[in-house]
Amino acid sequence: MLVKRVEVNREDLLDPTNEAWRRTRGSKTVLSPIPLAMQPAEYVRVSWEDRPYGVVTSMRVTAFHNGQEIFFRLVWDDATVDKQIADIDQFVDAAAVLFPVVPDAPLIGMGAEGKPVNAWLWRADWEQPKNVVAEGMGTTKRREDPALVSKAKHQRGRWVVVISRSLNGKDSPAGTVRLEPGATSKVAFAIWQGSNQERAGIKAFSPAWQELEIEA
Amino acid sequence: MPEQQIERQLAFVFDLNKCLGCQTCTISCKTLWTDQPGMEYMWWNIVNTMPGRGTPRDRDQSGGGFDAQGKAQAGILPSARDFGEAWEFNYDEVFYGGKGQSAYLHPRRPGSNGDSADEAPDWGPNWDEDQGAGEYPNSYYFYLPTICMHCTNPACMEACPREAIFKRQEDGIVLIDEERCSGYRFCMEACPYKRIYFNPKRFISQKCVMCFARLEQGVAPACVRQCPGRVRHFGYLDDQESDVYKLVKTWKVAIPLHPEFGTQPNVYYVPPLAPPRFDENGDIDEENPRIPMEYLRSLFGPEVDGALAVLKQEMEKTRSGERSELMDLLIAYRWQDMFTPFVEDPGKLDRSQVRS
Ligand code: SF4
Ligand code: SF4
Repeated sequence: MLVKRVEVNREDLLDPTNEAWRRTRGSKTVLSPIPLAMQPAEYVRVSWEDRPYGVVTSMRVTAFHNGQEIFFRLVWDDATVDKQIADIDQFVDAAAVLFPVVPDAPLIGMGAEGKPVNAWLWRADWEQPKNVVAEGMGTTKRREDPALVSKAKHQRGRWVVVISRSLNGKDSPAGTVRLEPGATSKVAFAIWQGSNQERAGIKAFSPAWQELEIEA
Repeated sequence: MPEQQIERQLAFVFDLNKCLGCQTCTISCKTLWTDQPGMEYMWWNIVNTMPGRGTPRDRDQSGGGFDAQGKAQAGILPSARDFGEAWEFNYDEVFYGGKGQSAYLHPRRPGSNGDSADEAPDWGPNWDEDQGAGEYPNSYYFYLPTICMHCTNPACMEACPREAIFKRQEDGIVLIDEERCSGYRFCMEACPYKRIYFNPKRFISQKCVMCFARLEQGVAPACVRQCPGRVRHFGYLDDQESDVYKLVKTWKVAIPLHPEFGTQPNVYYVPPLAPPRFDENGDIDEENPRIPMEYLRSLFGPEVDGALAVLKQEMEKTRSGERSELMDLLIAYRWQDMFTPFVEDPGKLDRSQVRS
């Protein structure tokens, strides 16, 4: 995936429906459910045995940068908007953009001990996305990151979400990914369908790292 | 899942023959722990009328726990409506609207103005109170208080993919780490006793903490200390001097609720005795107790027969003028013996540690 350099200001790129995003349809990313065998709790494996999950099967992703900030625009079909929970048996829609923190961090299993992955988590009921690191399933830890922002819109049966943070890495929280113009990294994605009670490891994810090339 | 080795276990014994259904325990817990925003509908301690549907609605049929092979079982995630929402009342209208003589207080579902019929509550945390079962003159019911059972094999703990739930080594209290909890609610599904609530304001799961902050100052849990019925015995299960040891281990009259759920709960119950039935002629039928044994077995398992037999035998003893150590224990002549060694006065609590 190429992160193209564009001469567009931050406000416009943060707007999910801005015309700057119209010049490309982005690339299709196929998603699949995280295998049950990988869920760390027996309860989760047993209770989802006969229940479909990871029901969002694909998304389109476009990535731009303007020399200062990097922007990922995620688009996926979702006929049900779950922006907040009205009752305690409900869950909200969510998405994640993942990066390896060290080059050989495994995506399967959300990193491993000593080989962390970094995720930018968007959730429909949050004001601000969260920057987290994980060294295995269920180990996510939050890193304060005021530079991580998002804007989202649900329209015509789909979510359109832009997640952005500043480039150049110098203000990245400790232990998170550093992204710079001209650099390469890897990226992966995940979606949780709130109406299907998806949360934690019950999600759809892109099963392999994609190369991420940030135009100089 | 292998059981965690712990050093000691604190346990409760609730004597169902003495419970008044007064909910003093419920309120003592509410005022101490669940009076913050997002906790309005929570009742970490609740006393239900049995037979009844329980809290949340149809609690005993909501799955979770483990099967006979120790495999986790799927359970349902109740809604706040199932637990019983915190109703609102038309206080403004009745107290300040000048209609004190014509308007009357009525509950409405939270966030509604109570105008339409479906905004009137159709369920609550103790909706079927005192309904019970059976036909007059053989109608019957009893009260069943429940809290988190601080299980030896906690289904909630197994279910949490973040390992946010832990069991303390020194006393076996099961706690949710609020910093680690992400509000996934698998624990709520997995707990077969349905004693975990979700706080939508803080997006975390919460439950009974056994008043650990009081225990650390030698003070018994609020529900134990406040119970006017002297129902609640409390102490270390390995302390041969404690009431809980004597009732559970020595006399074997206190038994777990739904042992088949496989979590090995640490709240034990002295099962309810019942007067005999009346037969068709209105004569006393000594053979059959008013509460059907089948029903009691469905709640407490096969051990209930033995527990009731011991109770009857010891009651018989006192009737014939003999002394019964068991009856003395259950009568609880000396109140503080019920929860030794946690006999410190709550009035002397350092409250900065109870709530910061
Ligand atoms: S009663 Fe439920 S919440 Fe309490 S320890 Fe047992 S399984 Fe966990
Ligand atoms: S305070 Fe005691 S008597 Fe009253 S409901 Fe609770 S357990 Fe029963």
